[in-house]
This record gives sequence, C-alpha cells and structure tokens, in this order.
Amino acid sequence: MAPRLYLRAAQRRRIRELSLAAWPLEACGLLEGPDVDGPRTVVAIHPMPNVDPAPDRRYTIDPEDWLRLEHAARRRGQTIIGVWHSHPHGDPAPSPTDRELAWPGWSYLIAGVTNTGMRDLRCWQIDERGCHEQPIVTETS
Amino acid sequence: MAEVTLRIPTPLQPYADGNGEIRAEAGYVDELLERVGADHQALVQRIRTRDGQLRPYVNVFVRRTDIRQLQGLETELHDGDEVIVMPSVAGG
Repeated sequence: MAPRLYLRAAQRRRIRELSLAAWPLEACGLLEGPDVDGPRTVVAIHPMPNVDPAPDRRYTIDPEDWLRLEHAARRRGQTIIGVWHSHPHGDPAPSPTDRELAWPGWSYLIAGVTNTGMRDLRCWQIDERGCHEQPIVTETS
Repeated sequence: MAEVTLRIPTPLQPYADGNGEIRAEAGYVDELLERVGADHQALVQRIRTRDGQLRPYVNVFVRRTDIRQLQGLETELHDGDEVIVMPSVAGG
C-alpha cells in the first residue's frame, strides 16, 4: 500500500461538485502540495480544462496550463504532486489508459461518479509494477 | 555553445537521480538531450524515441514556447535559457 494522502473535506466536496458538473464528460485537474516522500497533503485542488478530443472517455491537460501552474506552485513553495479526474461510469479504479499514461511518483485521485452522485473517491500511485492504492485521510478542518 | 538549464518536473525526477534541474552547455535542444543522456540515459529515454524523435506524450519548452512551434529538436539555445520538459497529463 502506498503512503496516505491527506485531503480536506472541502476539497473532497469540490471534486464531487466539479465531477458532477462535467458528467457525462470527464473532469480533471491538478493537485498541489509539498514535494515530500511519504504521506502527502493536498494544499489545493486546481480544476483544469479537459482538452482531450474524446472527453467522454479520456482527459488531457494542456501542458502550457500545467507549466503555468507549476511555476505558480513553486513560487508558493509547493509543487504539483498529482492529478485528479472523474470516471463518469462510476468506477474509481485506474483504466488501462490511466495505467499506460501515468507518471511514477504522482498521486492519481479518481472520482467514480454517475448522474446521481459520487460513488467513491480513491487514490493511486501507478508504476510499471502496478497500481498501488493510497489511503485517503479526509480532514474536516 | 550556450549555458542552459534543463528543468525536470517531479514525475521525471526519479530518472534524473532526483534532480529538479541539470545545467549543461549546448547549442541546440538535440545536443542538450544528447549531453544530458550521457549521464541520465533513463531520463532521455522517456523524452525521445529510439530513433531520436520527441515522444508524443512529452513536451519540451524553450523560453516558455513549445519547441514543436519553434524548430523542434533543432531549436537554437542561448545563454541562460531554461529548457523545460513537461510530460502530458492524460488518462482515461
């Protein structure tokens, strides 16, 4: 099991809202936090436009958008620690495309949603050895 | 020959011995990758294909412009340039 991911309850609600607003398309964004090994804390959830030509089954973040955010995060003493996106079919497990395009060391937060709500939110680290779930610790304050 | 800095984002740092940046002298992007690859082969293998082309899910920026909009790997470098490798963030 991979190290824990700390997420505030408000961030969790925000991902749910953004994912439901985008349904039946995939919503996506980046996770900002400190560049540390071990347990990670998400300090900000950044919604990003899904620029993929098939947004009902894939997501792509414009690299220039990422570049701008990476610079801004570094000025704040943080970095981009991962990505979040939604699966409009409700399953929060990494898809074959997620596994193929994942970057090792990043956290992949996946919201499984349907038209009625968010079924589950799970987080993964993905590398050539497989998908390793990161337990999410939701903080209320 | 220009003195430049190759900036490496978090997902690629494990392939660069944990470095967030590498300084090198090079006249062109192609030459920069060749020089960096001498010490960090695993990193450059994730940027270029075996035949030397840029991988489709990797973007390289020089002076904040994607080199695909410049002269590609033949883009000229100047003293102080920052060359940034940005893997695409995508999935399904």
